Amino acid sequence: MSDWLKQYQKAWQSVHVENIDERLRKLREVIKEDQKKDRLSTIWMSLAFIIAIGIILWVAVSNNFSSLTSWTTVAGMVALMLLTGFLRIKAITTAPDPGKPETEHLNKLIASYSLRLKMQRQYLWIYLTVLNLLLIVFYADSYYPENLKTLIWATLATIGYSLLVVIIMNKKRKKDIKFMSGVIDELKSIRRDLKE
Amino acid sequence: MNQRRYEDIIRMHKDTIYRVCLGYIYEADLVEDLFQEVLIALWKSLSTFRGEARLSTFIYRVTVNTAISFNRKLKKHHWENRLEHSPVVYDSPADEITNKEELELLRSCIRRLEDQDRLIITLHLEELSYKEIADIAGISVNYVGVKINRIKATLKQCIQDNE
Repeated sequence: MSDWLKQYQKAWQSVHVENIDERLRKLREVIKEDQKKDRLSTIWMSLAFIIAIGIILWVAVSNNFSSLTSWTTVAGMVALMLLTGFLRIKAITTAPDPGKPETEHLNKLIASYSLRLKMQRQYLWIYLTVLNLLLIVFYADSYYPENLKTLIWATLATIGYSLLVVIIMNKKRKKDIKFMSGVIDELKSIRRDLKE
Repeated sequence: MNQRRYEDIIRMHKDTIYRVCLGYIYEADLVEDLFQEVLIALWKSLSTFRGEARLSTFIYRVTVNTAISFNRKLKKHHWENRLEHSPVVYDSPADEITNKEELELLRSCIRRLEDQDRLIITLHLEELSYKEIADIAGISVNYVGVKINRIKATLKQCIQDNE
């Protein structure tokens, strides 16, 4: 057999039939690892949020709130609501540790991963748009009308930075989506096999 | 055939049976269905095994025949539309990821082959001799050699194009 085919043959022969217990055990390990990563990313995301809000407050306090209007207060409130909402969704979607192979438990896991998948596919864009709007409102409140040039540059830099983050993170996002879809498919397949 | 003997045989051969199903059918759900059908077919037919060929050859033959009739039934139901559905893929330890990626690439190239070629290369990957493949596929040994060379060239090209 040719060398190149031998390499693929190794992968081919690594395929084994697994029973439900084996499949659940493997999936359990994968989900546990994923939960760990998810918790870490939640901590980083919350920290980033807190720092952003902290800076806004610091600027506001050091300016004696003189130049700031109610728009900044509204924007700050929206930011806090966004953070609370984000943490709440994370709390709901953090998949519980899969224990017994019960259909009800699998349903919870499927619902949890489906929600996370939806967040990655749709809510991420809403979240980024709101965050950008929040910062732009803050810049406008701080610089308009006295310092129009700074306002434009700050706005462009923020939008540019967000786009850059989206582009850089896109590959990881696609990988995450593929991973979550795979986990959901496998969970559904195990649930179906259990019913049979 | 008593159940104990049947279970022993299946335990010994289940992985190879499953891989033949995997080579012949692409969509994950359908592979499972075919696998179940092969198990049923073996339960029905193992009692007719008289020892004229090796047991493994007999099992492969039943698997291949079941796969062919399964595929025929599927084609009637326009299963081609389902080919785009990818089988389950999720991260696992690093070496398994590499295996999975290679396996997926290999399977996606195998699925583009003709029905008979898919079976031949699957049996070749299982390290069956040309003689055994010829017996199972019902073609001459020389033709198996020619076919395998052609299939390998096609697969190599496909893998290079998709890597």
